[in-house]
Amino acid sequence: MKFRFALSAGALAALLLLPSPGEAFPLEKFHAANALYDQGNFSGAIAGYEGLLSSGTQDYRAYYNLANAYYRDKKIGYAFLNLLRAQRLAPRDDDIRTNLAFLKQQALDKFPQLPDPVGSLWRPLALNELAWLFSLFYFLTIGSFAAWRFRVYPVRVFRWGAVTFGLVALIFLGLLYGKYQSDYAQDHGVVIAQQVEVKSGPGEDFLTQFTGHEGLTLTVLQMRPDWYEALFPNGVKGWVKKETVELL
Amino acid sequence: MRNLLVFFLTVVLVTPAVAQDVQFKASADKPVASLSDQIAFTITISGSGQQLPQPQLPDLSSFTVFSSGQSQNFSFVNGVMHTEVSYTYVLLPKSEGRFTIGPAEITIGGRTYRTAPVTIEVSQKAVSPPAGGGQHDRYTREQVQSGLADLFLKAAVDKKAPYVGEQVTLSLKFYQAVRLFDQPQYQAPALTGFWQEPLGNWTRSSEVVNGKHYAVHEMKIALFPTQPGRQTVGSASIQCTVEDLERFFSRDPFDQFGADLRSFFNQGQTKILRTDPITLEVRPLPEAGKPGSFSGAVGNFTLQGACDRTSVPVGQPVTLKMTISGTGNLKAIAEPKLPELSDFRTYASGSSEKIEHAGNRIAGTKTFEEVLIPKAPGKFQVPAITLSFFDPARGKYQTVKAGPFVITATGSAEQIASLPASGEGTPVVASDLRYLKTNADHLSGSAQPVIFRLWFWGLQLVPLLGLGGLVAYQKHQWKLATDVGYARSRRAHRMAKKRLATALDLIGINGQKEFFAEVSKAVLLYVADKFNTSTYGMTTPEMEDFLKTKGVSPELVKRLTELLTSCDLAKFAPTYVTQTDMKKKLDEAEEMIVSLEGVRR
Repeated sequence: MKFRFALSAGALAALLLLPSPGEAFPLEKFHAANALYDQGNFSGAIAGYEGLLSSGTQDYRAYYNLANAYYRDKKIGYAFLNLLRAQRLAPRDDDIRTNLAFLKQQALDKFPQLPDPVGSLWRPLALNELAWLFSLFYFLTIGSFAAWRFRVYPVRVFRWGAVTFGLVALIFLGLLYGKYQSDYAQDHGVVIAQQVEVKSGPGEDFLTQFTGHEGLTLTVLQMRPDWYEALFPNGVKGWVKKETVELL
Repeated sequence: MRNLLVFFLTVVLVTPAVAQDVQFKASADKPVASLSDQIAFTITISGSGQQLPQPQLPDLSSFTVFSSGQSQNFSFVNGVMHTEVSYTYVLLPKSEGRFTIGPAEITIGGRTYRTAPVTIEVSQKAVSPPAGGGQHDRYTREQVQSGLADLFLKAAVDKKAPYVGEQVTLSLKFYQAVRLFDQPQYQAPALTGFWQEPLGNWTRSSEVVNGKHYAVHEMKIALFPTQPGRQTVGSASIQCTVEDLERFFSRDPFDQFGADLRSFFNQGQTKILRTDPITLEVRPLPEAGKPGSFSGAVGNFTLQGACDRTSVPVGQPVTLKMTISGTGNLKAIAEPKLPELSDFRTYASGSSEKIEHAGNRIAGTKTFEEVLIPKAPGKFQVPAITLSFFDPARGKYQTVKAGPFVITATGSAEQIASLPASGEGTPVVASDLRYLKTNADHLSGSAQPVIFRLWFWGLQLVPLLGLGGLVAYQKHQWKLATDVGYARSRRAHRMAKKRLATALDLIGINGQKEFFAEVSKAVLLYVADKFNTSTYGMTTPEMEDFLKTKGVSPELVKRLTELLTSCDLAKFAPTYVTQTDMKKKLDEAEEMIVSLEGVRR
């Protein structure tokens, strides 16, 4: 008990004393990895970015650069994976969008993009942005409601303000929920093996439904110790071996 | 009997009965046939009873098989019904040789019957006797030539010995002099070893052959042999149904009833017309005089080249458009090779082709686009581009040229770095990943979304709590303003404390009388305020009763009355009370007020 307390106290002290993530130290790592990339040392750059990301930094630029390095290192699956991670953090970034389109062109499996009119409502906004937008309008709603309740002049304006802000807050709450359901409640993944056989059941003896390749995206529906059941962009539901897939 | 479906009779007469005295036979209408002959293969089942199952066919993989129909015959002999069913198949031999058609099988009443095997000999050119009841074979070549046939199909080519890649026009003609019952079904010839391009659809005309008028349907196909040597244009076939006139004239006088039914149910007669395969001797292209730049183009072509502009800033693209037009196997033409251009970056930007048929020749244009981006400013020459092709009409190779082209690049060398933004008319030059993001002076830490953090939802509670507090405060204010009792009760404790504080001050200045008066007043007024009543003139028992109705515990009431009585005594009795005792009384009063505070109003 005492030992545990001492340990957590020590950890706390360490947290307070060490430079917090996002300070000069990771930034130096970032620039060092960029320099390695420029020299054509892509595996070195990959190690640099991966080290940076595993030590707490979660910046979209690091994911974006890592994806670039993976592509140059001919690992298109990992390039997809990290670019998708970057896009999750910065959904409106033009470079990410352009590179994703480029990677899709390079990928062996080309499936037509299914139209998703509902999803496009929340796609341009990150989860945090939606959360803060909801929060902002929620605060405005409560504020206007209070002003109306306590007869602050102009009372009518505050009343309509409360209604309008309330509706906007509800819309953002809905979008937040939608985004959460589509991107976070389900696990998404990318095929990282060069080739993967999509089976009709969790075992090698099942029928191969189709053969997918590096960079194929999927949504995980079910997990088994060694297998994932997933939905693929061509509408096929099938099982793939866990080690051939990396989750976002 | 053949080609007859007494369908409704079967439907009407079928009652469950097991067939007996089964006879099961298979026969071919001719034992010897040529490759172009049709063989009628008939399987007949007969027996008493009405239900005869369908036989299982033997292996017929050596032939192309068409089902030609089923006929059924019923007869009553001595009150027993006799049924005979025939299935007829038209066989077209696929190759020469001796073929044995194995037994067909049928199971009736738990017994399996097998037919005897049938042997057919197929030779390259068998003289098939027109006699022998070969109804599928009535139109032999001799008959066609003598103008007897009502229907025939003819295939012809315009060249027998083309070069590899030279166009051969295959013409298929379907001659028709009788009414057809249905849409003829055309089966294209096998054309392995050729690249084919249809020259339009079926056209209709009329022709007189040996004094007989025919409607002629013609289709032409352009063929380009892809390999030298002996190449075969397979046989095309047409299946159609004609009126079966013969039956009317061969009427059996004892079959009156049957014949009438037949004409009523006349389904017509199915005919299959086939062309003979055509063999071409394809000549290889001569090796003599073959130019180095030759890449398989055969025909007659022209080459044009043009740059979309002649002067561009450095780093901006110029599109060189190469157009090949003419007649021949355009699809086989590859992009003319550009020489090594050290002053430019080059990208193949696309190709398009437009193929049409001028008359019976395949012709058209093929366009290739090449994007050139000057690397440095200056005036550069792109050498002439060449196209070599073999002209089969002249029997020799030709080379055509376009260019050279002069391109002037303006501006400075720095401009090379930036690739052009794709604007109007500028092609997207080459796609690659966009470069790294390097302009970071701060990297963000956690990527865990705020909605997974407790503090975020805690923060959302703040305005609600604030609002709740405000509402409660407003309610309190409102009550203070409108409810005297509430206001008094809220004030009671404060006032009592104030009075007790005054009493405490009196201890020091020895005002014993005033002290006890103040304590008693503090307690009495507290009770009055707390319960919103008046305690002036209330006797002690009255007070007791009142407090009891307010739900104050009897023990507390007792202590309260004792305190008030002792205060009254000390007020009027001249006994000396020590400061400690006074302090005690004060504490007692204070305690009492605290206890009363817990009582609901």
